[in-house]
Amino acid sequence: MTICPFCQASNKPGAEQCKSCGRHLTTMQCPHCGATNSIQDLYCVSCFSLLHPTAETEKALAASPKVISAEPDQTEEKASEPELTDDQTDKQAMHPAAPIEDDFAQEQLPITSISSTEESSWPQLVPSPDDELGNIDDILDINTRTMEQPDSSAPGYRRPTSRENQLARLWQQIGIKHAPMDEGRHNLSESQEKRTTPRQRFLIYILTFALALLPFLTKGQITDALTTDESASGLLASELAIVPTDQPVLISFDYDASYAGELLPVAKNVLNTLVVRQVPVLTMTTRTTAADMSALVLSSLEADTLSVEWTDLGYTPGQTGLRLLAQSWQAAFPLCTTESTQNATQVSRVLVFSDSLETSLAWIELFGSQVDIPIQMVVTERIYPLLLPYEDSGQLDLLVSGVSATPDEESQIRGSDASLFLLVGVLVLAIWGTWTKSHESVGR
Amino acid sequence: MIKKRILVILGLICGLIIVADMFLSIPWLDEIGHILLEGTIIIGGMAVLAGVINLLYHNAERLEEKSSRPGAIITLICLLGTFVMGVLPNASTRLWTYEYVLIPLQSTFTAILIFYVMETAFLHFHTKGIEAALMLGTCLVLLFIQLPISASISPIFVSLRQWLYASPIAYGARGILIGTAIGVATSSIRLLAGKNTIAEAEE
Repeated sequence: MTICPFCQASNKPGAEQCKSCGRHLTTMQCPHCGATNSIQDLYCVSCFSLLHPTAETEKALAASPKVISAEPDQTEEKASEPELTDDQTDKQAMHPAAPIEDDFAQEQLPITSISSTEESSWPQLVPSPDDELGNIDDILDINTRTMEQPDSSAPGYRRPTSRENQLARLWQQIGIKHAPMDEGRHNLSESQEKRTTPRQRFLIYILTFALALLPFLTKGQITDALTTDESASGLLASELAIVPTDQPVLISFDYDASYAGELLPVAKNVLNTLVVRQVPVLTMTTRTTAADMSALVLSSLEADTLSVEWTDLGYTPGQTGLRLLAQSWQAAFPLCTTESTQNATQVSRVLVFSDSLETSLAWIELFGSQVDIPIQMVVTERIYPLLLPYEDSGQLDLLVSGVSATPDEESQIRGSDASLFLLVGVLVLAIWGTWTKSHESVGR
Repeated sequence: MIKKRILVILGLICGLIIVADMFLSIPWLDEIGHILLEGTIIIGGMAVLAGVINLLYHNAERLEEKSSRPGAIITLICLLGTFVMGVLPNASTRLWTYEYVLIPLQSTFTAILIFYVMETAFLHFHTKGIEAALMLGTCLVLLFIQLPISASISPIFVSLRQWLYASPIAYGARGILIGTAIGVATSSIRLLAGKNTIAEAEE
């Protein structure tokens, strides 16, 4: 059963319009920009204006002694409105969404408009000390001041506080005329014109797609000046070369499938190197979505995996699992055999493949701070800079990013070409975007 | 309200034990902390189970509505299919699904982001302000210095990259990390003290 948010009438599930009041039950138009929103949205998806009167606004309305009748005198309202200048008429023509706001105010709230005649006839009331939202007189004074642009040096003038401005903005959002944010509302409407048109969007997507294909056509010839001698893959390889063969290495696969393209080639290379060197390997994960990653990597190795001592400890749940791991291996992996977990206590180092800052920090702070085992990380380029402070401080033994640590030189070169084309694409779009704006300005 | 107060006090005690266990090495405290952590895992497991039941129930309801029926059927098939493959003793089916379904799908979703990034780039430059200029400058510099080809053009770019990583980016990262840590600590203390929860209970 669907309850109409406007009249509280009960409707059949899935009904699009209320059988009682006829309003849409699933969508509503933004009173400011006219964009279509879900009825459950609090703010407009386009201009972020408040769509529904919140508890605060309702409280403000209830606390206000100046709530006017729900059906104002239209003639009086029209008479009180000043005539529009040519410029204002142009603005109104450019922003046809403005009348919708008034309709919205009539539909949603008991207040529809505040004319200057009504305003002058309001009695001066003492604000209630219990009214958390402040006195409505102050808000409307701000409105008057803003509209008239008074001299700030005049005696008795007081700058509105941030709270008063906030409240005034609230009034503006629920559709009261002459709010101090009128200017801002026009700016919002102008910014809407800066959205991409379908044609522009189509061209941008075609350009992006073409740029993504280019590295495969150029085969890295454009950036063949790439040198791999000092790359992260070399650094990682030199680290793997000194791993002791009598102690196991714990490898944690903590990345989702979406980053497999970046981290999987490095993971394969690392495991292949360890298997060739006959280093015992323990694998685990703290992510449910990466539970099969170790088996996937091992199944695709070039080296003979049967000759290596490999144990998959399995999954331990995130931060809690790492906290347990720091206390007891058996507690973190209760389903593993005692022999496996005893073997795990002899781990020489931990190598983490991660795409998440939270997981990486959990390894450093929850595990690394409790257990004296060096932690090495291969992470995505996205979180690499954020983990650099930990490498500087010595909490991380080694930190490399997946893109640069990819052992496949051809992949590196292609990635390099892709970055170059991305740079070109951004430049093209920058020029195009700037030119389009200038062109529109000239047109006006 | 009394019930909620009791729950808050219980939460406070458990939280303090976990925190104390982190810093102190007392056998009986370790034991209690261990039991609490295991309890967390059990509660987490139950939460996942509740989530699965909720998903089943919700999509079973959606089956009655014609418009949302296809989506509900796909969700249910995926859910049950994953469950069946998870409990099968043969791991090869699961690995095949992982390699040929999950990885391509998730990679595709990530790859789609580049189209929105490019569109956003266009929009930023379209607005033509100081912020857009800063964004443009930062974006172009960072993209360029990360290219290996920049090193072959001039060694200055290598130094620039090192400086950017060592100074502005590291400072920014440290600021974010410290800010986050302070925020987490504040929230944790408020939560442990039951400040928010008791206030909500009293309301």
